[in-house]
Amino acid sequence: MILNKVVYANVTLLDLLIVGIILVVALSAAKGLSIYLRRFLKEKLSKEHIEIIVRLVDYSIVAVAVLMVLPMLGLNLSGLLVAGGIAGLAIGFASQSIVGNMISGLFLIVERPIKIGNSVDIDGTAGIVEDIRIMSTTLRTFDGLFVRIPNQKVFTANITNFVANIARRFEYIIGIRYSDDADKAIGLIRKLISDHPLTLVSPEPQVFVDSLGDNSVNIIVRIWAPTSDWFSVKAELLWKIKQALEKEGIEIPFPQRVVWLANDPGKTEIPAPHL
Amino acid sequence: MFGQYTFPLTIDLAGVFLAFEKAEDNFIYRRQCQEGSVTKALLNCCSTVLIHPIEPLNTPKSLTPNLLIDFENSVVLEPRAEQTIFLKFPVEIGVFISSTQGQQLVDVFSLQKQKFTVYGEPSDGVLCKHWKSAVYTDIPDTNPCLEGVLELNITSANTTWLEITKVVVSAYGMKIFFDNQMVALKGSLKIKNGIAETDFEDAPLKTGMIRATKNFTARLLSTTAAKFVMEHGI
Repeated sequence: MILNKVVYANVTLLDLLIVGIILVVALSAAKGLSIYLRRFLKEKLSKEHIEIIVRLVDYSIVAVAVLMVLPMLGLNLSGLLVAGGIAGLAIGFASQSIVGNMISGLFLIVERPIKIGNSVDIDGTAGIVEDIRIMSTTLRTFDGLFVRIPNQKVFTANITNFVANIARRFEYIIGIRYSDDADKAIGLIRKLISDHPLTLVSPEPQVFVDSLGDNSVNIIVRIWAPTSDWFSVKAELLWKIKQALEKEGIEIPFPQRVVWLANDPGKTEIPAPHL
Repeated sequence: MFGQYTFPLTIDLAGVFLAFEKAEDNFIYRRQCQEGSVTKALLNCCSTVLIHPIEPLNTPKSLTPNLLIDFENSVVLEPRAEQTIFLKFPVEIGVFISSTQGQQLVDVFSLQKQKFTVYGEPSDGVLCKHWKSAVYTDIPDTNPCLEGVLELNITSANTTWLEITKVVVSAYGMKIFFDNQMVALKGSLKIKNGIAETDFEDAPLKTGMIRATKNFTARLLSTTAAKFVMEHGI
């Protein structure tokens, strides 16, 4: 019978067929189970946890299937261990970075300094975490670029997670003229902050005169907002503050310098142009 | 304003204009108030409109299921005491359409000023909708379109005196009831070993009140628990 024909060593065509069937069944089972797990866990766990579990199950099924078929292909696992010892040394030296990346990937999954969907900065590359794989982490930068960073680099790099906390603070420095009423300006700014629904009551916003600058009295404004909305609040409030101050006659001054002419006996001050 | 209506419908009350206008076989929903305006087309729809007070955690954005009520004056409670107080909470108005296929929320709006706060620290705290209320010993008068009444039964198993300045509740546990005069909730604050837990009772404050339709429905998950444990202090 053709299926009993020896292909090599003691491996027959039937063995190869069984190996093929086992691998196809294993891959199908892994795929099917992945789809089932994704649906089953969708409402119960975060996307990140689902992906970790699905991959773990996926790789485990494939690994078990490969271990099952190796003896059928005439590969003795105990022999492989001896050979693996020697080859392992050679491969180990050659694949230091691969192993390093894998181990770093495992530590990243366990330690979880970043999660899928987080806005982060990894060693100067800022973006949204698209995926944390066993070898690498992928980011989508804010201008839409795909960046793959090896896990070893991610693990050893300085990571800034912009969304790890529920609230985030932003700051403006508003300069007003020396002739303007700083208390009135502070009151106006405080009212605008209070009226905005997404500026937080606690931690409290801070508005105070921070410094007496060369050209202006500098008011510092510190506001906390929910992390999900801080940028839109930041973008919206600055312009509203500028408009509200101008409406009340408080101006944000341009840099200006008073010049005294030495040869003028009356030392007439040349007024700054009214801009 | 709250109740059950049939199509077509026009309501102009308390600064809110709300209408379901017929347009051939369909209806157009329009709403105008201080918060803004909304227009939606309702295709092949429907039989009934429900205008109910809903959990006050949908506007301006649904960012959190938790409501923090700051007390204007703190409450001091003696050891092992039980006391009932009344607080006000903000009301949001939900417009539902209903047919044999079920209910669907069409619009949510509020006539109140909205604010958020962090309960705890930004690093490990909880984002909450913020509301400031006086503490009452009797049911206070309210405008049901703006405010509801929360009856809070405080039970302390502590052996020391307590000062309570705020309460945090989860929208998933809220059971809102209403009638023509009032929107109301019955809740509890149980304090044991310095940790407080808030929960709601599924009962009206007065007889004859109608149970409002829920928008926040608890799932079988701890993250959407109906109770709230106040780990960051009272």
